[in-house]
Amino acid sequence: MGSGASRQERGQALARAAARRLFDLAVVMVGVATVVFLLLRAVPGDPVLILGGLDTLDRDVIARARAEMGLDRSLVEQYLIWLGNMVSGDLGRSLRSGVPVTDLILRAMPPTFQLGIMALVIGMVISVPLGVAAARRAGSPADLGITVFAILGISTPPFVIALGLVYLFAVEFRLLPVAGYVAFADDPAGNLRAMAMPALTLGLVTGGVLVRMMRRSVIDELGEDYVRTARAKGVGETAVVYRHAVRNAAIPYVTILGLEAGVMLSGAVITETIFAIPGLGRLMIDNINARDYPVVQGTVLVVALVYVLINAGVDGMYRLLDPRVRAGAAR
Amino acid sequence: MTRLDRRLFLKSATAGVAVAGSGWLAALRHPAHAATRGGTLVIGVPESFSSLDPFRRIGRLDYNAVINLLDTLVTYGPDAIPAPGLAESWERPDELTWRFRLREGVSFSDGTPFDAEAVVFCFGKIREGNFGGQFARITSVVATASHALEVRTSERFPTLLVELAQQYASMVSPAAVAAAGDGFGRMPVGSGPFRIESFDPGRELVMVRNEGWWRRDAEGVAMPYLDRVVWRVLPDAETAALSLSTGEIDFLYALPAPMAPMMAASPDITVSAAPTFGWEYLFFHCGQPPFDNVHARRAVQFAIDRQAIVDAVSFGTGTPASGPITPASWAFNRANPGGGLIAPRANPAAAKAELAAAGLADGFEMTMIHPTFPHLTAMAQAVQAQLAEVGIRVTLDGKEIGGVLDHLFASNFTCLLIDWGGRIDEALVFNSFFRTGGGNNFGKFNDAEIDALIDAAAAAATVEERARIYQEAELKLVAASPLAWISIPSELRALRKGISGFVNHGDYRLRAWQISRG
Amino acid sequence: MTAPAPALSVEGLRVAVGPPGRGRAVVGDVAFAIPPGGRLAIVGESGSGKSMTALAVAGLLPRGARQTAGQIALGGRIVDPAGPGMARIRGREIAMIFQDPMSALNPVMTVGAQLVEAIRAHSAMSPRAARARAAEMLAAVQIPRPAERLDAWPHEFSGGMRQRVMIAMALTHRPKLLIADEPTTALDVTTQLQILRLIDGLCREEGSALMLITHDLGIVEGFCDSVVVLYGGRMMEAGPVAAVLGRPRHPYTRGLMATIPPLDRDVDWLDPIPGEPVATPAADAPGCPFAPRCGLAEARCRTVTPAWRPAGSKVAASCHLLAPSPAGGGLS
Ligand SMILES: Nc1ncnc2c1ncn2[C@@H]1O[C@H](COP(=O)(O)OP(=O)(O)OP(=O)(O)O)[C@@H](O)[C@H]1O
Ligand code: SF4
Ligand SMILES: [Mg+2]
Repeated sequence: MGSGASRQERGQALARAAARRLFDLAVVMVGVATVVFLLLRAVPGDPVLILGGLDTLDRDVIARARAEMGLDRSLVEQYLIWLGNMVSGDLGRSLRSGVPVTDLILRAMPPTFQLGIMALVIGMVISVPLGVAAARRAGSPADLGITVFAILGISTPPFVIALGLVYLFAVEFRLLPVAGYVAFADDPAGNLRAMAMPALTLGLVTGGVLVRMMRRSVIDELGEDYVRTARAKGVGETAVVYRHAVRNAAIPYVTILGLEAGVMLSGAVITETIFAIPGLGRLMIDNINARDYPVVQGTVLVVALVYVLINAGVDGMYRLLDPRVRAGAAR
Repeated sequence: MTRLDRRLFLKSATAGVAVAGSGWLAALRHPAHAATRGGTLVIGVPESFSSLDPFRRIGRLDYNAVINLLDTLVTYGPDAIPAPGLAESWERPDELTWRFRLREGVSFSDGTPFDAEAVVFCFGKIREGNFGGQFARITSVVATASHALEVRTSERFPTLLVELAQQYASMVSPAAVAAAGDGFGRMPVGSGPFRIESFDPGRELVMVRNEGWWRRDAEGVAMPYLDRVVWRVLPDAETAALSLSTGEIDFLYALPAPMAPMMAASPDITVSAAPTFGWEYLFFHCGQPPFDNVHARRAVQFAIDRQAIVDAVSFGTGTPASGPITPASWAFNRANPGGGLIAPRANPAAAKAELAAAGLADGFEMTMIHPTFPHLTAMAQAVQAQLAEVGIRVTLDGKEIGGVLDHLFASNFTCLLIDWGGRIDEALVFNSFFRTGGGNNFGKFNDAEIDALIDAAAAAATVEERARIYQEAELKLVAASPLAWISIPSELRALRKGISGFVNHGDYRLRAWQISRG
Repeated sequence: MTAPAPALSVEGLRVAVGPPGRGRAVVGDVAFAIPPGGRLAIVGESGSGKSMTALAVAGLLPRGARQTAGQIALGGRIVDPAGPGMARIRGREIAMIFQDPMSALNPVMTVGAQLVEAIRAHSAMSPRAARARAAEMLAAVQIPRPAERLDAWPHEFSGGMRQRVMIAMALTHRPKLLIADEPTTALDVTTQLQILRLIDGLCREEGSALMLITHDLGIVEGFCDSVVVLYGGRMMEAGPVAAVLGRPRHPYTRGLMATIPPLDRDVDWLDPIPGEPVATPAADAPGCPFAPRCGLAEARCRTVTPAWRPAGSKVAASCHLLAPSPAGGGLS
């Protein structure tokens, strides 16, 4: 502890851990890439036919479109080309529009990330005080009320929450627009107005999950010996709860927070659809429906990558929150 | 519009269609309002745009945006009569040569002048594009003067003007194509009524008026009237409808049928409905039992109660089909739709007689493939119940649309329920669906007499003559029943009061240049 | 001459667990006093209510357990251990260390931070000064390189070192009473003695009274001057260590005495008494709690609660056999 040699050792261990992580990441990516490639092609439906439906079915038109999309090549060829491009960072082009998939994804990322972050912040703002309050009064009517609120948040379908908010804030009070998205850079106030209800929708759902988690963890932690020690020292109850119990409860809480962040990435489809937010969820669904293979493949890859990053972030949070993990990682 | 409103709730749909049909040609030619200039129209559209590259095979909504941005040499209204576009006039000195006189003083919105050289360039793009095959008969396109063009073909090309009126034959700025490269679908530059201000395919397409557009209205006033048109993607029907009711949008591009009555009840909103060129229909596989027997097909044809389906499944917004030609079409036989062979109501006695004639007096069993869209699923269930009445036992096989199309294209079905959007030009419909070997003839129907009529119609000199021949072909088609036409969907749109000039032609084309505020 | 008020006096203490009304008494009618600087041992088998008694005194009963009767006085002043004022008393007048040093420290706070917290809970010392004091305290509990160790995490310490940290925290404010609930049970034998000696020495230095809970009669003999024997949440026998252990009157104490695990061997508490203590009746049930296992039990033992009565000089016990009986005999 503290000596130069051990610090150097620790650095090397960290580098090794990082290298192992990167390797794992590469394996995950190629695995995800392959599974998505195969899954998409196992689903019936031809991208060329789906686009435009029966409106233009001339065989020559279709053959040309198919050749342009590279769909006239064999599956193995398509796979290898795609994998090769992926390694060099090129996710290909949309079959429908010919636009580089990277462009589409980069465009869809900011709204999804913003929505996810806002929703998580709302979820945290809701869940920390409510979860702690419920845990401190476990079994009381207040606890019951908070639990009911949380379960409502979890079990109410997001579209019901969303439409409820829309009727209230957009139709009844005309405070917010019903739907639509503006980039923050273009119009910060408009952006926040547009994102308020979607973020609240997801925030309430995720808040419900997080409240339950926080409550359970704080109750567990309050029963721990170190809490009794803190009380034995004469530490005030508020400090006992926040400085000791909540800080420890944060560890399992962060795990769920990470999971919820993952859900935000892919599970925001409904919210993005209702509020017309051109994010990753909608990009994915639109293009699954259209069988626009490269776009779906690219989006799934990016989502997988972000999942991995979120996991790394969660691990980082563990390291931050729990000295035992820090010690374990360097060992 | 009020006429159409009422129509929405008319129980007798055919009567309504007759009323609706009488005035729309006039409305197209002479917008009956003194148009106010200026203002923005916000349109809520139900899906993302894919690309606005006219030479690609793009979606219906994409094409609709394209007609508001790009001109074609020939224009072509729902009356199917080719009219001047960027080509002011044309002549055909011999069977294989066409000469076009181009409009002068027109520039693309990037300033590039429109001239014969530009058209030659565009022909190159068109023929490289997905639809290039349509123009395979063209052997040369030559600029004979700055605004004169000669097109030569290898064989007769009677539908050249029709093809030149399609979006895939749009005229675009050569300079812009060169500059944009692959990105052209994001920022197509043409000479149309509007030009793009900004485009985010999943979110919004903003168009602004092209001040120099060549086209005038009947009073000689420059079009378009609107300063801006915003096409906002609102994928959820519920929030789209709410956006209309709060006035965030002015125009709902696609109104789901179940919402129509509620929307129509709002004092601020007008609902517009018009029959389209499309159908909801059954494909029969005419090459294998039981539908290789015409009587089996006719039995189904007679067993279907179209009116009941329209009422129950389409919330009264559709029209019972009478044959392949729909009330939206210039070729529709208003006096005697489809020869009166297919009634809106089922005729179980006739159906049973046909079954007996097919040697299937006890009925038969079959599987019917259908897409799992809620509306078509409900329709499939209704058909199933109706066919059961005459002893035809149907097993439903609902599939996601991609899977349905796979089966359709492989002609791998006995009976398949589907819909399509239709084409203005009956030549394209008849050639594709009913001609032996036609592109959409997935049921392998063949009838030499009908083939001959289809060819004759294409060669006919006048619209009236073509309509007459198609009506004759329709009679034979209804008798031969390669398909069972069930209903004609309506194009349902909703707009806020105070929007004028919108005419619903049932052709899925919103012509924003005709619209004005106030 | 008036004797100084006892550091702790407990009278008629009852503790119940479970929902109010349907709860079960786990401590009943426990009473004892510890003079200033005195050392009281509480002994008894597992489940006999030793910890519950101690926690009730400190106002640290776990969720679901509560004091239902009794009076507790610290230095002659009656306190309400469950009341809101107790936080000001804990850590300053009463301190407590626990059985399992591995879990008693907060794993996500440095040792120094936890010491500083203990110091600042009852003094207005600046953080810097508190840190310096924390280092002194670590030194006092014989942790080498104390200043460096302030930044260490609990998981970096061995069990013995953590218990030293607990002791340091507990004695920061020179409490009048230190409660040590089996402070060495979780430690290996050699460490046990060191820790006990440390507690013993520091209490002597600070003049703190000690309430030491243990299974181990050897420890009682070595470190305490009086003893309370609990069984089934009730007092069986109490008095000076020498008197009680020298000549146990109560059948249960005698059973306990049958084997004294030697201090220098790593042996768990061996149950010398036949039968399982699991079936102990509630601490407020009539009869003697030990009756199911007592070799001398009579019929009345199961129905009549034996009275708490003197059984020799300064010793008292509760057993029917200690009552003077017309038939003669008895245990005294
Ligand atoms: N949190 C609790 N909730 C309910 N009952 C409890 C709780 N803790 C202990 N008890 C019960 O109270 C009784 C007394 O337990 P206590 O912990 O005081 O025993 P102990 O003498 O300290 O035993 P040990 O030597 O095992 O520490 C036991 O019957 C036990 O089951
Ligand atoms: S009272 Fe009876 S049961 Fe209890 S210890 Fe005495 S003899 Fe045994
Ligand atoms: Mg205990």
